[in-house]
Amino acid sequence: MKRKQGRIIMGTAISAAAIAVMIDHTRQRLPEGKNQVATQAAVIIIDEGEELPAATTGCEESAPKGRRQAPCSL
Amino acid sequence: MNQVAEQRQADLFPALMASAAILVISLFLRGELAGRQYLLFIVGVGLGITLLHAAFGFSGGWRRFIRDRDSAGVRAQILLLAITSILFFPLIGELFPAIQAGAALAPVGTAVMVGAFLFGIGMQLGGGCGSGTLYTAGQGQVDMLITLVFFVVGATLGTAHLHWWLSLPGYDSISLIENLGWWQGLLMQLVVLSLLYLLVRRMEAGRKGSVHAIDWRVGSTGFTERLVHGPWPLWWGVLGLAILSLATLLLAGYPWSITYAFGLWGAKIWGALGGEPASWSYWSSGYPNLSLNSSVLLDTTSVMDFGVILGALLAAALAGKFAPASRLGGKRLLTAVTGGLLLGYGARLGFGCNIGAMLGGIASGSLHGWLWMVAGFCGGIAGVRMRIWLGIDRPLR
Repeated sequence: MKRKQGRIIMGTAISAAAIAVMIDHTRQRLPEGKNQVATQAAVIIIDEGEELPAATTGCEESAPKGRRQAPCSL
Repeated sequence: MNQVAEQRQADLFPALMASAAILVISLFLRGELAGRQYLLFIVGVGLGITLLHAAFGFSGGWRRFIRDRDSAGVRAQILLLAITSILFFPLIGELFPAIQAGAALAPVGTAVMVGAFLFGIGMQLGGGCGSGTLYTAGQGQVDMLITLVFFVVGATLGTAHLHWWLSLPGYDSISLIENLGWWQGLLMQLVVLSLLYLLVRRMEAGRKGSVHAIDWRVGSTGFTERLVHGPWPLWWGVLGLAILSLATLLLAGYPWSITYAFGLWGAKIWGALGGEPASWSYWSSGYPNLSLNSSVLLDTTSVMDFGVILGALLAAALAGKFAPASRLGGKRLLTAVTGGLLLGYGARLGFGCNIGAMLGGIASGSLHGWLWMVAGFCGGIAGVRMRIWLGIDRPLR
């Protein structure tokens, strides 16, 4: 594959990805208020049986008690 | 000399485009979203630049050791693990209570063992690990772009099956820091890493009679010139990755990870195509459910991955290495597809890749990181054999 073809493919892929991110960002509702940004820290750092460390993220209602139930974020 | 001079011919158009994209995204994240997303994006850019300029790859390092007993890459990885552990253990062990730093803990079980083994095979077939696939795709290697696409497909499939894998035998997460104390755990870990370092060094010396040094010198090229245009000595890569991993831990509150985002992207695409990933066990609750129903820009791992890709693109353009010419035959297509699927599926089962599970897990004292490393390396040996069987590499002597 020639360099020029590679550039065209890369340019197309990055443009498509950028459009997809923009569509996703505009489709999804942002949390109200700047301080309610969801952070993974709220869920990732939990051990079996421990409560969620952050109570302001909106995760606490549905989040599992341990990674085994909903392994995530790694 | 000619080669070095040629590499320093910056590719201006992609360099400008990458710089503009990094600037626009940083400003957008800062303006649109609260918190540290834009800083983590910039850390991701730094990681992409470091990985590309230092050519820091895990799969290549493992392959060179398995095939030729060239242990420089493996020793660099061990040094990275040791330095990162020294930085992480006191923070996670709450030596500084004001700093919130969590460990990358995960169960130690069949899922991790099988996942890491599959990932190890995928690394050799696909041509890169988690970080390697991202930065080489950012560099404009079209075959690695294909690997990345199927990495995403595999990770999404993994999220569909993970609940079954987790029903297989295993233990809950085991933390060295919680069980031994941070400095005792660190001491034990450093002893094990030192022994590993000496072992691989000895194996290389036994085979080749000498040991390939880990390069740290700037050489005849000036420091600034080398910093901007590369290539970096491997030691710079080790230090850069360790410092940026620490920055991630401090900013995000947990270690650097990559592959969670791939499953998320796949699930979002599947949802956009009419699928219902939210009905899968994995995406039905907790953080996965929250991230599935939020903007991808709110997901820290995704934002950092975007940064890694753009950072690698910028570095490749500055080094004159963007979109290198390549041959993309049927065999390479097959290995890119198969490797990508194995990488994605394995990463989901293994609670991460060589970064999230191995580097993040080991550096934060999680036993699953060690299990991942052993199983992943065994998968790497199988992958190297498969490459020979497929005629990609010459047979072992």
